[in-house]
Amino acid sequence: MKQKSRLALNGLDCLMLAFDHQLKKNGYAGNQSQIILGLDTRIEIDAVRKRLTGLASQFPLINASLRSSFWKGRPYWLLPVTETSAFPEVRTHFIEDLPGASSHEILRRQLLNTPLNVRHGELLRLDLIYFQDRRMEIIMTWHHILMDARGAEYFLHMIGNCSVGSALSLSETVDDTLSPLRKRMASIDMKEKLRLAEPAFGWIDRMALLRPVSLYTKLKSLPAPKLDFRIDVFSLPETEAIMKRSRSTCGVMNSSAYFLSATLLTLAELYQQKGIETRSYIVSSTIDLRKIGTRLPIFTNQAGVLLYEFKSEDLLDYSSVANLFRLQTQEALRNDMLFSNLCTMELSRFMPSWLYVRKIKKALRGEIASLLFANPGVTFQGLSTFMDEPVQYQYHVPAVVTPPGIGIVYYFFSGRLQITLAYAEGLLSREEATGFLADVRRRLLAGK
Amino acid sequence: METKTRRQLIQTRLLGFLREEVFDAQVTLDEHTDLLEAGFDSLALLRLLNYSEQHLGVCIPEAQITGDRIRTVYNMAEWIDTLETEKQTGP
Repeated sequence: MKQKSRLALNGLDCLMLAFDHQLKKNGYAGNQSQIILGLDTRIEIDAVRKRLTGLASQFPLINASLRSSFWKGRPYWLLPVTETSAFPEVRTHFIEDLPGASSHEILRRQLLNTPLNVRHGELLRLDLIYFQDRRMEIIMTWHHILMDARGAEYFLHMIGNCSVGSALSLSETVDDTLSPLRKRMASIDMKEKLRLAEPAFGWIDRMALLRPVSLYTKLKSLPAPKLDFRIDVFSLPETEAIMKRSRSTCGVMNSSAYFLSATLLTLAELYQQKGIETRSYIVSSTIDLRKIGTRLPIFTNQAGVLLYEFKSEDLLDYSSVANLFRLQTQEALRNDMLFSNLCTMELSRFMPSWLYVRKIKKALRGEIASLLFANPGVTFQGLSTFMDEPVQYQYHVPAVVTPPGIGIVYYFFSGRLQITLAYAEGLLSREEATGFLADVRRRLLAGK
Repeated sequence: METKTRRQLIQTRLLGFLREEVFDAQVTLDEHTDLLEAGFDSLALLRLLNYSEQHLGVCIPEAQITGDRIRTVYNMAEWIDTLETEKQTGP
């Protein structure tokens, strides 16, 4: 009976735990992310709280506590046996200004940097911001140990539409065997995982030979830095123009290459301006392992990571960056590198998080990457309404693990391209971050 | 007749790969499904190129990829079949 209340974490969940450990050690709130929904109509706190409480009793994992087995060292969730928990919390904030005003921005930043009390089962939190003109914003902050952004989108959809949640069982939301790669993972033993992980370790070692010097180098001396973010939204005609440029510059279905090229060329320019000399840029790019057409499972991390290396002299123009990106992705797929990385992550299940962090830091002497990059595509369409009210805007604010402390996500909401740049204060000033996004925008529109 | 059979075989194998490895079971997929509308993305495309090279023995030239050629499994099979013929006989 006792065993039934435990749920194991997968390898990537454990990696997220390791990064959480690293973030907290450096004074950050932790490995947590946010989704922001903007509504034109006010929804009262009681209605939201009622729905969340219903889901919490159906899915006790939402406020489970994280434990680790003393002998085996494997972390697991201990599901609460009673339904009386202070979490998840729903809080309200009243702002006299309109959305986008400085007090709003200050509050958003404050919420992003408020830690979740994971040890006591606080894995997510809802903040409802009410503006004077009856508009509102819903901010869901969740811990990355619990779920990834795809899962979080679906969970928010469940809050907004309770009938969705009632149709799912706990096993459907945590079962990680849906992905073909995870199925393969389940069929091999530990010895085989170690063997298959070797190419991934080899890849990291090879990149370490031309170790990047990231912006993070300058941040190490700062006490308790905070995270901040900037968002840029393109209009429908701008989005159309960018996608057209992407096709003509990088070919059909290569928007990731186009977006990354624009970002990296701008980043290299920024490094030059800041006087940081680096021989290489390492980009960590996330890839969703779920099959196309599903958001399940929800309460788990279902992503893989691929590392890309770009030597400074390779950052010439779109075609050189895009070509290198494509070649490295192809090589990774040919060599089963995604699966090899998963095996590497799976090993973290059997290591204490501090040891895993130490191994990562040793491999790259503190510099893991120059930039985190993601292009998850279109946001979940089920979130175009929330509790029957149309959602006016939806933003993602990713956790930026350290190092590198800077990450960029490209995504589409309502047909529009959106970019969130998240960064640790001290790496960039607000003006620099705004300028960086403006330069990326210019490059995307100009195609050069 | 032989070409038609080979094309059908390619189509069957592509469909099998996409159903097993790429799309979720709840996505209804047949040879005429618009893959781009169903969410087929750049990574899925690269996986498909990889599959074609490793399992069908046909290397798809990326520069020649167009939206139409990869829009449906039917179109893809037709194109791969043509590439296979060109490989055997020369363009």
